[in-house]
Amino acid sequence: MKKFWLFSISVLIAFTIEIYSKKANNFFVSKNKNQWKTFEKNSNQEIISHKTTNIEMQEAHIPTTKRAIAQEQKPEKDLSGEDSSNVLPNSSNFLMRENRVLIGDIQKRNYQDENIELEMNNVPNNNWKEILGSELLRFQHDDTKVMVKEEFPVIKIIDGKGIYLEQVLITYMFKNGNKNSYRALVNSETGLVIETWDRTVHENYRKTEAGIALPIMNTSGITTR
Amino acid sequence: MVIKRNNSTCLVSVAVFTATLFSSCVPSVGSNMRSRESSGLSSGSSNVAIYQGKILADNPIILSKNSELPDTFDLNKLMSTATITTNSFLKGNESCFGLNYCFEVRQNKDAPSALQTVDGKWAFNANTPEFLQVNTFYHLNSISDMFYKNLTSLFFSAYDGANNTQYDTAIPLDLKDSITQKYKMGGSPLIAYADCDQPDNAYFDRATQTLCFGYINAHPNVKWAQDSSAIYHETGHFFQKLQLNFRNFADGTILQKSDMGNIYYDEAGSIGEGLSDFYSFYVNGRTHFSEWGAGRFLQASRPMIESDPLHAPGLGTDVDKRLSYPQYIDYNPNNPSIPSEDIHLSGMIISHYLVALVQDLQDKCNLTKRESSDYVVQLISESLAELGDLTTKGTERNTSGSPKINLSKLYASDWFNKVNPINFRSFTQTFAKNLKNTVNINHCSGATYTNDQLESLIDQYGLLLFRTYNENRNLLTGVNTPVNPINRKKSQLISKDQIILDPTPNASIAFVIDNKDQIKEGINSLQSIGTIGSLSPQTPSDLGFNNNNGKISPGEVVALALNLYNKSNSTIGGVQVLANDWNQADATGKPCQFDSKLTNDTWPLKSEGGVPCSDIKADASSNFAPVCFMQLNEATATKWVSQKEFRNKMALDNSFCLDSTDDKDCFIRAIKGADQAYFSKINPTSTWGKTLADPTTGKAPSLYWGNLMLFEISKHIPPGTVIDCRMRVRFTNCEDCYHDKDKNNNDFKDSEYNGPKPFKIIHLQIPITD
Repeated sequence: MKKFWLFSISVLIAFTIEIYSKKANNFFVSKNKNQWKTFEKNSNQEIISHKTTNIEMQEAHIPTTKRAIAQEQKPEKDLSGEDSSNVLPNSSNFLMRENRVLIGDIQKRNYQDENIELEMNNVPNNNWKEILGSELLRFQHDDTKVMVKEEFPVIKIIDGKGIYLEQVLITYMFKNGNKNSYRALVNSETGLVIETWDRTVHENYRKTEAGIALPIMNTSGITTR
Repeated sequence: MVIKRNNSTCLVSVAVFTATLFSSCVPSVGSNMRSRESSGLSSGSSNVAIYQGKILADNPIILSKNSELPDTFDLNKLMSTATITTNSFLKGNESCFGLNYCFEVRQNKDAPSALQTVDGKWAFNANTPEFLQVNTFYHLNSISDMFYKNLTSLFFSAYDGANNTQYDTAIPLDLKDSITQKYKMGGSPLIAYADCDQPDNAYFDRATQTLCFGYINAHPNVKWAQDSSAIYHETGHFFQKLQLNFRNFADGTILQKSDMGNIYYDEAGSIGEGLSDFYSFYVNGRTHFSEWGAGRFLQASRPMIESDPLHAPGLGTDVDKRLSYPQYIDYNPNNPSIPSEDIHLSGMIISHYLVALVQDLQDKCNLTKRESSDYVVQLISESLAELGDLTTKGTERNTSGSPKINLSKLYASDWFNKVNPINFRSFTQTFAKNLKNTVNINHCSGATYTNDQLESLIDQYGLLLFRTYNENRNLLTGVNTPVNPINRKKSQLISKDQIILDPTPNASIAFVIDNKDQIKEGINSLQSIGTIGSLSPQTPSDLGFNNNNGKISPGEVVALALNLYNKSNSTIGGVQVLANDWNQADATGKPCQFDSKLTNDTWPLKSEGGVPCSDIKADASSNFAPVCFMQLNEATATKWVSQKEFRNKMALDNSFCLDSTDDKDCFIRAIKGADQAYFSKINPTSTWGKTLADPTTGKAPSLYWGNLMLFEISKHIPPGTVIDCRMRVRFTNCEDCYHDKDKNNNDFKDSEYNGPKPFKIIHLQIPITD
């Protein structure tokens, strides 16, 4: 009988510890994923933000760290690369300056050499991600969510001048269950999106959007020459 | 005592171990499925050997040979046994054909990891989510196996043992790591969700690299993952991402990636859908896509050969009965009487051409169907790798150090997405060049596949829209290989001057939409799919200036569509309107009056503020001027000036501009991403609206956001101001939009697309009305 109770209590304790750790982990995504941030527009038209939860990651169909199991031939510490901060793309040959990836018109000078002065067109703003979240939601309906993952910082060279940018992954989640993702370059000062790619291809066998009726009359006064 | 202590310790250990073991099988919210499977819900495991499972070898319509199979049919009756994997999880096999790249299959968003087997077997009841995962895995593995083996084979065709190119390949040697011999393509594995919560939808999310297979809304037990052709199609989108970016992955200095299409209607998106359909044929050899998932309950399956019984009468495999461009762009085989602008439908032209080419190569080159299909996929890889190249090198034999394609690294994305995007002409031209360059090297055993044969088949599809093969692109110093004009029998090339604004008396020349709710929906939609980025901070979130009066007023965001008219006697296809920045002003911003060799647009006269321009450049920001100029009324004259000059005359502070950091489009700007519009086709002597109208009711088609351009208007612009927006228009089957008769019919160089010559210029003069 004593053995039975000892066994039962041990099982109970072990399960309690396990369940607690799962729940704690479930509410806030673990530390190495804290660059995901969720922005949400509530019914008062206020945009609020919080660290992205595991449940939100699942709802957005964003694979979590276990996805890394499938990556072969990589050392253990790199497997969670997708979810750790400031990770550059695999196999990159990127030139760097100020720990940022250099892109754009970078052949003309050795921009990697930080002793060579580079005029910058903007100044990084610690609040860029908050501004971005607000911008992405400001025209959206209530209860639309946007999740933003900071991927890595960038400097783009145009006409010999630099501009600080951030590469991010953006995921929209709508109340009706629809979702869209894409990557973007964002101005590090203003938080404005300047370029996008990696957009989602939907089959949507039934068009989900109502079209706009072709206007019958032109009352705009627009003419041609 | 010792024994007792050991017993107690052992019991505690066993208990903790047991609890941990069970809990490790129950990772989080997604535990249900895996715990069910652990508790033995699998069905029929006793009937299969280890590593085997039950699958649907094709879709249920094909397996049952019943085109009206009900959704209540027991799919277990159609299942067969197949080897699934030796892994204990549904993950791409460990070797992944030498790839540093794998895939795995999960049930849905609640599943934290791939399905695991407890007994090494994968047999499940057809009605379970476990079956959907196994079926998805089996077919995903099949097509991946074929694709990657094909790519490896392509390497052996493109390079000899000393890594010398066998022809001018676009497949970069650096795509393979020279030491590990593994492909360098991203880094994240592909995740397929087999039982997704998406009604009437499946998707490929390029950013998170996930596939999602939903269900039929009216028949929830009918799943896309039950239809192997749908799995092949969707995986085809993933392969296109790889193919378009082979050179970008290998280069390792390109952040941006090339996407096949801009989501709304365009020809790159159409070709992408056609290629995805072709991937279904590639695996199963059948010339019809998705009889079960799309066909049975949504009437949206698609043929890939003209002899398919679903097709309308009049189509056939005879040379004059092909599914040709542009006639069949808006043709829906499931409802042939109603035209429909949809990339899945227009994509059928490409899938039909590719299937016909497979047959033609079988016939003329003594290839098996498998050999021929493999070769066609290699040609697709070559073509997309070149067209999607944002490094701008283009092909491996370009050792000049100069950009061959997509202008320059700095502007490559803009050129690829907008200024010179993939369309039916550019895809077919590049594909034909690769076919010409390689077919007689080692793909036409014992015979020769001639340029005439190649061109004739393309012409049957109305796609012989190029006059040379454009092998040299921007590097041209001589002449590209010409197309034999005798082979152009069906393909029609039309002068750009044949497209004009609707000349019908009292007809609109443009449509303005300034309804607040409609514009808000448009912004929401375009922003959420990533087509547009941010709007001006000056534009109020409630679009409070939008007054729905059909005019353009200060502070509004408006959508604008041109009412274009085809005055020729032939159908025009792939109409693109551009409102992006281009080289139409001098360095000070004064509007160009172009040399008559560049355009017949004489606006504006010198007396109206025009300055002579004859040289088109695209290598600095100063070569890109906004599409709209402002009318400035001075005491002695009325002039057209830049927005910057207008601001100076108004003495308006920069901070009041739409972009406070750049006053070049201070008052009006086309929103980047929504600064182009597409129309699939315009019939002879008709408008787009009439072309797409329901022929029985006459009802006009609806405008979608791909047909419209979005403009932001500053609230500081004085009412009464007149604006001139100099738009550029072209279409795919155009005689003078892509090649230059004055230069041996060679294609224009990329920089020339920053000027007026390849376009029809259309002015909109817009009064700002309060």
